[in-house]
Amino acid sequence: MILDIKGLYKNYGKKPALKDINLQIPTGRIVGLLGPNGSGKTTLIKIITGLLSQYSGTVKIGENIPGHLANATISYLPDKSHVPTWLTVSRAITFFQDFYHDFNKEQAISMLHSMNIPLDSRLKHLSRGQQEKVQLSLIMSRKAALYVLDEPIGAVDPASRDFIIDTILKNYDSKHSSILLSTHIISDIEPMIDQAVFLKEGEIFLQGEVDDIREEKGSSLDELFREVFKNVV
Amino acid sequence: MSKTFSNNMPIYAQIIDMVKLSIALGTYTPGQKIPSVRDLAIEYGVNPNTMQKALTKLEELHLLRAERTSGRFVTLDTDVIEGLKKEIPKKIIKSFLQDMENCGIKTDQIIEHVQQYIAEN
Repeated sequence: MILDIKGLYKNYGKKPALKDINLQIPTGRIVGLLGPNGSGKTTLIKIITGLLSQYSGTVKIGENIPGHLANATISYLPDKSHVPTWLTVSRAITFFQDFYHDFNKEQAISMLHSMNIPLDSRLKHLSRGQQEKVQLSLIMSRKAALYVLDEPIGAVDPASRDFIIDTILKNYDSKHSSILLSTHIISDIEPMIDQAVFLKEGEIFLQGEVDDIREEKGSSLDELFREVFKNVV
Repeated sequence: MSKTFSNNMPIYAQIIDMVKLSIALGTYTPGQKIPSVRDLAIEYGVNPNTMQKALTKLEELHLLRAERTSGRFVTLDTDVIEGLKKEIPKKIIKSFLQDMENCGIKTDQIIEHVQQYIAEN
């Protein structure tokens, strides 16, 4: 089991943020963490990646609890840029190489080449969509057990979106790793994920295989999502 | 480039239909080796597990044949392929009849409508 969460609760002060989360991700899965803004997606991701350490329940990444040992096996794309934007693209690559022993420099460079991103540009001189592509390329060039992608397709245009989906599918090794990705734009990623986890007000409202849900409900996840959350946001 | 999928059917079922169409149209020729699960998943823009499921079903339908070491091949059975060629128009007619019915047009009027349309065009 790559990720195993049992009975997870998290409060911000008195306000509950996550309630009784149970989530298991075996190897070779692409799991969509879906929910409107404020449903707890980023909180859950921050617990998995060790950024929030106050919680109750058990969280295991492989054999480890969240923290530095677990983080060596997690490749994490935060919802806000984590790479200093004054770096050039090639310096950012060196930065990742210094930090992560599982980082494959050649892979990153070839991905960036295929997206026509100049290596000598400073990140802040790139468009937001290009910056997202650089970050995703860096993240996917690690050989991690778990890729945690928080809103990987926020600012890109539809053509780039296809490219990003392509990049994720091409670069993840389904024999050794899994992906957990959060989004509120479901229609974009629906064909790519095999398991969906719907969060609603901090609780898992529905989880299952995408095609089972489509078969059972006779609608896409996107339609179901709009139906369920139309009165929430 | 990834494909577009409709909302009301499981994705694997839609892949099955797309592959069937490729075989019927001869885009995939009889006996041809098809790409790996991984490459097909990327081509269709879908999860590899979803692609695997679709290919397994296509094997059960004897449209594809898996060989343990060398990969997957399109069937050589011409009867199966001929059957497929007949199945596709049936499917289109079925959904057409359904649409017409939803428009309140009775089955016996449909032929008249079709003949009139053909005559006009």
